[in-house]
Order: sequence, then C-alpha cells, then structure tokens
Amino acid sequence: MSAVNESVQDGGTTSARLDLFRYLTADLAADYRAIMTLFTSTLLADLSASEVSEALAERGTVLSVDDVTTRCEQLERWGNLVRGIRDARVATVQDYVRSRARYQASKLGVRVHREAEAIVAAGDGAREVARELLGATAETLDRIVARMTAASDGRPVSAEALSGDVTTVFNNQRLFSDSVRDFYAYVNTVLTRYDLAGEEYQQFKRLLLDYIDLLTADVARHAPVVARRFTALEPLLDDVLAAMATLPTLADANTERLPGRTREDWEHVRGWYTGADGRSGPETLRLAADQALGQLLANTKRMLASAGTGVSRRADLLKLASWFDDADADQAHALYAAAFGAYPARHLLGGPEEPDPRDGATTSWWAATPVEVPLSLRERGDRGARGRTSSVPDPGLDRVRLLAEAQSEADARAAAVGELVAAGRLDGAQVSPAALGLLLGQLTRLLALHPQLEATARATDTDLGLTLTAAPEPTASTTLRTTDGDLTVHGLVLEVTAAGGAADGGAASPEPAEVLA
Amino acid sequence: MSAHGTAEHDAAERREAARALLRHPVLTKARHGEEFALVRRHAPALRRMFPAVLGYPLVVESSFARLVKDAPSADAPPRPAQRRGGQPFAPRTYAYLALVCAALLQTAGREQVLLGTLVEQVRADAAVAGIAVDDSLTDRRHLVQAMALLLDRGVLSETDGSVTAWGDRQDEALLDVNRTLLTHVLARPLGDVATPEELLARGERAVAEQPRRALRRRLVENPLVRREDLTAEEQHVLSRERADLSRTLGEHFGLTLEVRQEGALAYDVDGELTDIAFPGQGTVAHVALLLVNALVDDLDGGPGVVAEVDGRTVPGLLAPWAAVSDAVDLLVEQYGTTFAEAFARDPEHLQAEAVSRLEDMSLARRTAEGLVLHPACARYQPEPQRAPRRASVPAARASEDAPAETQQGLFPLQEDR
Repeated sequence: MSAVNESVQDGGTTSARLDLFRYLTADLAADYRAIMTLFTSTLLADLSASEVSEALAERGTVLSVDDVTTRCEQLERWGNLVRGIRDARVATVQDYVRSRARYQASKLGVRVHREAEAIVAAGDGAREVARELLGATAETLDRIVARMTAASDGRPVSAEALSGDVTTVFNNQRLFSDSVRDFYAYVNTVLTRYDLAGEEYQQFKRLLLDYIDLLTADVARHAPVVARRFTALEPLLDDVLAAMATLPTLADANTERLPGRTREDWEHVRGWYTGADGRSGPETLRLAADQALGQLLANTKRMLASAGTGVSRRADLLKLASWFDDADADQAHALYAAAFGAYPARHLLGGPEEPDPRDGATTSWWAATPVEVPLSLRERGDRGARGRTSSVPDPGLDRVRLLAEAQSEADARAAAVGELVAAGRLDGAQVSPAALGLLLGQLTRLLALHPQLEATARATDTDLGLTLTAAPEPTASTTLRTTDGDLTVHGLVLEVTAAGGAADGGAASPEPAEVLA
Repeated sequence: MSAHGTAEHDAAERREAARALLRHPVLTKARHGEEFALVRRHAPALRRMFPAVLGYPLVVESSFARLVKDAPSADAPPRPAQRRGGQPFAPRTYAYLALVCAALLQTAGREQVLLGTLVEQVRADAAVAGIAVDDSLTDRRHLVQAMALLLDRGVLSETDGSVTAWGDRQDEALLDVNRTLLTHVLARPLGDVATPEELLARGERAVAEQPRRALRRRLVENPLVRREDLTAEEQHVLSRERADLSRTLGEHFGLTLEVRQEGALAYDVDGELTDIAFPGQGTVAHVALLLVNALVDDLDGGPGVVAEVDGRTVPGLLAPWAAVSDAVDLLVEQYGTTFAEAFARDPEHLQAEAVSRLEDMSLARRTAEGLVLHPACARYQPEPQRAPRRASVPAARASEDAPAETQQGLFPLQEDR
C-alpha cells in the first residue's frame, strides 16, 4: 500500500510528488485549477491547448491559446499533466505541431485535483458520521463467511461476488473511519474557538451531547459484533485470499491493489475492532468523546469567565465609566447601587423581641411605646454590651414574689384544713367555701379509690395533714353549709380528723382501707 | 451536616446565612469563612428562597457567593460604595472602578495580571470612553481606592507587592484575578440600557409589577418605609397581609416588622443586620440620637404633625436649622467631653455629620427651612418623656393643617425663620 510504496521511494520522488500540489497555491492558481478541472471532468480527456482554450471560454474563463500552452507546460513540469501520446495523422504542419501539444491529466494529478476540489468545496459544518456502515459491515462479513462455508469441492466459491463483498467491507471501513476522523476534527476546531456564544453555542452543545452519545452507543453496540465476525472469518481467511487471487488482475508489482487483497489489510481492520494493535477504535472514540465533553465544560466555564459575557460586559463597564464620570455624587451613588447591586441591607436598631400589642398599624409613632436605648449609648455613645436592648428580668424579685404567693396559698389551705378538722363529724357543719372545695377534692379521691364503698373507708393526705373517713350508712346523710350554698352527701357519714397522732385510732386499727397520699 | 441538626437549628443557620448575604452581597470564602460555610451548606434552600421572597438571584460558587440585588427603591437612602476610611466614593472613583473591571476583562483568560499592565489598559480604555485622566496623585488615589474595593470584594488579591505601594511609589505589583467573581461584579448586563436615567428607572419598573415582592424588598433593604411612598397595591399588601409579611421577614431574615400609622420598618433585634448602626457607637451616632431626642423634646411633635418636603405635605416634624444648631451646641456643651476631639471643636462639622447620619437612616430629610424629622424618630424618645406625650394626642391632631403655628408658641427659636 501507499506506506510501503513511500518507503521505497527515494527523496527525489517524494519531492516530485509534492510538486503535484504546487499549482494550488502558485500565482495564477485560478487558471491552473480551471485547466485541471477541465482535464479531470471526463474520463480519458485528451485535449490540445486550443481545445482547452475553447472549452474554458465556454465556461466563462478566457485564456489565449498561448497562455493555455504555457500553463499546461508548467503543469506538465509539476507532473499534473502528461503529454498526450495519441498519434494523429494530420495534413498540415500547423496541425502536427498542435497535435504534439496534446495533454492528459496524470494519474496522481487527477487524484490531487479531486481531493483539492473536494476540500475547497467542503462545508465548514460537521460531517455526518456514516454510522449505518457498522451494521452493514457485520452483514457483509456474514455473507463472506456464508459463501466460504457453502463452497465445496463441487461448487467453488464465486470469486467475483466474494471480492465485491471484500471491497465493500474495506470501503465501508475507510468511509466510516474517515467520517469519524472528520467529525472529531470538526469538534476539535469548534472547541478551540473563543467566540462561540449564544445560539451557536447551544447548537454545538446539542450536537456534542446528542450526536456523540449516539455515535458512542452505536459503536459500542456494533463493534463487538463485527469483531466476532472477524474472529469467525479468521480460519477461512487464507481461502478467501486464495479465491480472490484467482481473479484476473494487473500484473505489475507497482500496481495499487484494492484493499482486502492481503493478510495485512485484514489484520489491520480487525485490529481496529479488537484492539489487537494497541488501542481499539471504539475505545479511541470513547476517549475522544470524553475529551470533547470535558473540553466543552472547560470552554463553558471560560466563556462565562471571559469571552462569552466578557465582550458585552466590558462594553457595559466602559459605558458605565463614562456615566459615572459625568454624574454628580448623588447620581453616581444611585448608579453604583443600581448597576452593581451589591449594597448592604440597612436597618434601624432597637425594639422589643415581641412587639408591644398595644401599638398597632394605626398607632402613630409619636404615640407608640419608644424602644429602649441602652443607657451607655444614650449617655456616652458607646455600647457596653452589644446586642439586644430588651430588659433583662431580675430573677431575685420574681423569686420573692413567687415565694410570697406560695406562702399565702399554703396559709389559706391550712386554714381550710383547720376548719374541717375542727368540725370533725361534718354533718351540719358551717364551713368556708375554701374548706368545702378542699373536702370535695378529698372526697373525690376517696371515692375514686373505693368505688364500691361497702365498708368504712379512709383517705389520708399527709401534705394537708388530714384524714377523711367515710362510713356508708343508707339512711344517713351529711350536709355542709357554706355561704356559697349547701352540700348534701346521701348515704355516707363523713368525718375529718387531723392526720398522724391526732387521728382517732387511725394508727391502731388498720382494718379500714387506708389511703396514703 | 444538616442531617444531624434539628429542623429548628437548620432554620436558624439558614437565617444566619441569609442575613450574612444581605449584609455582604458578595460573600467570599477568604473574608467571611464562617458565613460562607453556612451559605454553602444551605445553598439549595437559599437559592430557592431569595428569588421567591425578594426576586434576587443567588450565585454560589466554590470560593464565593453573590446575591444579585436589584436597584434600591427610589425612596431608599443613598448606598454609596465606601473607601477604606468609610467616606463615600467620588464619581471619579466609581469611574475608575468600572474602568478597572473593564480592563480586567480585556486581559481575558489570564489568572494573574501585572498592575502596570492593568493601569495602562485602564488609561487606554479611559481615552476611548472619553474620560480625561492624568497621572496626578489625586487620580492615582481614586484608582487605588477603586482597586481597594475590588481587593476587599475578593475580585483581586495581591500576590506580590501591593496596590498601595503602587499608588505611592509606582512599584509594580502582581495581582491574582478571580475571573468567575469578576463576571458577577455587575448585577446584570446593561446592553439594553442607553442612558443613566433608564438604568435608575429600571428598578422602579420591576417594583411596580410585583407589589408584594417590592414591599418585602423595601422592608428588608431600607431602614424605614414611609407610608406616603407606597403605591396603592403596596399599601393594600401592608394592611391585608401583615401577618404573612411579618412571618416571612422573621422566618427568613430574623427581622421584626413594625407597622405604624406613618409607615413601616423591620428592625433587627440582634442589632447586626445593618451597615450603619443607629443607635450606635461613636460620636456621630451618639449625637444623632441625642439630637433627635432633643428636637423631639423641644418641638412638640405628635400624631398628625406634618411638614413640607419637596412640595409634598408629609407626616413629619420640622426642626428649623437654628433649632438644630442650638441643640447641637447644647449637646457639645453637655456631652462634649465624651466626643471625639475633632467633633467637639467643630460643632458645624458635627452637625453636618449627624444630620447626614439621620438622612442615611431615612429618619430625617433636609429642606431649605430645616430638618424634617420623620415620626419614626419618636421610637427613640427618652423614656421619661413618654407619659406626657401620650396625653397630648388630641391637641396635636387638631393642628394638622397648620403645624408651624402650634410649634410657634412652644418654641421661641421659630422667630429666626
């Protein structure tokens, strides 16, 4: 293949080959290209200078015959054209001279021109990747295997069909890898652009995210399948090559052969899928995709940081600078606050944690409760303790008050107990409402503990220092009189005694149910 | 982290983070480490809360957080950028601030920049923008002050040498640029704004469309919201949705809402959520407080007292300039020993500063006749005056049409007018 050929070529041949490209960038490149286009547009074009001149005139390029002759001679020197060898029998001297100056495009000249024109004509956008070829490759390989296995001694393999399939496999592979390479080259060029912004950026982002994903998924799905087919084909490969070798071909050793006719070609393609020679194609693609996405992220950041918004922000800032310069102090402050939006919140200080409910939304500030300002601030303009201005409660006073309240409560209760104890048997006793309340509390407790109350029951409250005795007696009733009204308890005889030693026989007779608080 | 805290603890942390952002809309890891950690921890909740409650986008990056505030409402006191000494920026300093930022964007892609190169770019840009700059000491100071702001904000940091040294001796310095933060220096693009007036009006337009949010913004950003400055819709929100408003302010920012006949304000019980403390420490704040006390005490303010500001009759108490300077003189006499020396010697300067402080807090407004004190000044009445003031309500109500006359008798200094 070309790599092999190059290595056998000496330096002189290489530089001669490079001369093939000179016409593209030389002075008068437009003329040269027009001439080359003419020679490559048909098969076996064999034109004299005058014919070239006429044909170019038809296409709108005016070149004299002499000019054309000069150009063609130059192209011939570079190797793009070769002298026509058609031996024309002519009648006049003039015709003879003319026929000597016939030209054809050289083999490599045609190729260079074809590629050059394709590149000149190519769009800037992404080139689609021939993803569908991966699936097709797997199918074609299947077909090759089927042909080879179907062949037997009796029915030899059809070499023509076989070589068609082989060429398809290799063409597909080349088209696919070329298009992938083109695609990533495109991605790379876009990624290095600084001015990518707005709609263009969005499109590109979608392209990267969707298309690369699709591509990677496709390759991930098909590549193992194709790799397996190659493995299946491996034992048959010699037969395949042998079958194709039977086909008539060009005998010259320098002939450029179609791909797939040698074992190296096969190994090379298989390596792309299996990674036999270093990194496999699918893996390379995955890495490239990762790298592109990483670069996209980095770009996004950089664009945000500088290029994307930078351009417009810079214009904004310059505009702002001249506004500031023309403004008076107040306007400048206002502009600053509006444009930079970085002013701190500001608040009046002082005020209770819970607003005073007496002051409402309709109260005037003049009439509302003023906030407390710490004395140090008011007197000296300095603040001993930063923070809240609400008054700190004095727990000492509160404790004194609470103790006093508790004491008076205890006193009142002791008085009520005294009343009840003094009454003893309660029937007909005249007591204070407080004493009655106390008694009802005790009675409730006793009844809760002795719901049936079949025998005499007692409840002792050691805190209060009293014992309530209740004796069931169906005919009796106990009535207490108070200023709030009378209380009558039917069927019970109630008696209150002081708890402890004063209780009448309470400690000696454990027989009634004893309730201790 | 938050998984371990109780809901209440989380809410308290979120509130603390939100307050830090209100105080420092550009919050950097380097300068506000603890607050920044809180903001980071509660970033998702804060990123939802700020746009929902105040309409402010919040950007949280690995090294900084940026709360993108809108222009303050028209009734807000001016919010100047401050030099390191505390004085407000001059227009020229602002111009340099914008030029430096623009120059930094010009050197795109690089993380470091030489101060000399940056200054050359600034001068070139200034020439293009039609701003006349020279290499005078004054101009250099403006430039250094503008850069100091960017250093404080964390947009620039000094790697080698210092901006100050450059300002004094033109020594070269190497600066680190936080590119990501740099792009967030401006609150939003100005491409669609053609004149300064449009820029200032834009905030107002946004406010008019969303009365609820606008009112919340005013209360969160400004010390005092005057009732007469509110639109009908905002008034409506203030009266109908007060409980909701109060809860929102308390829950998210720890602010307590105080609504009165003449307006509304949100105060901070902790005394932290403000850039200027009032009442606060220092001679100026001290004098401002005493001045308000003295004027409110001397002149008979009360519900319904009105004064004229910019051709509008608004609730307020007019203190004639003579009364103001008399009061200041008296204060110097009484308290002078505790004042900073420069102020004690120069009562006029002291008065100007104190009046500015009151204006900064929206408590007072300068007019040709005198200082108009807003009724909210009565928040700081000295305690002993409270009882008589409450009793005098009906009399003051009657005087609504002619405040000057009612003050005349009580206040002999009126004659100076």
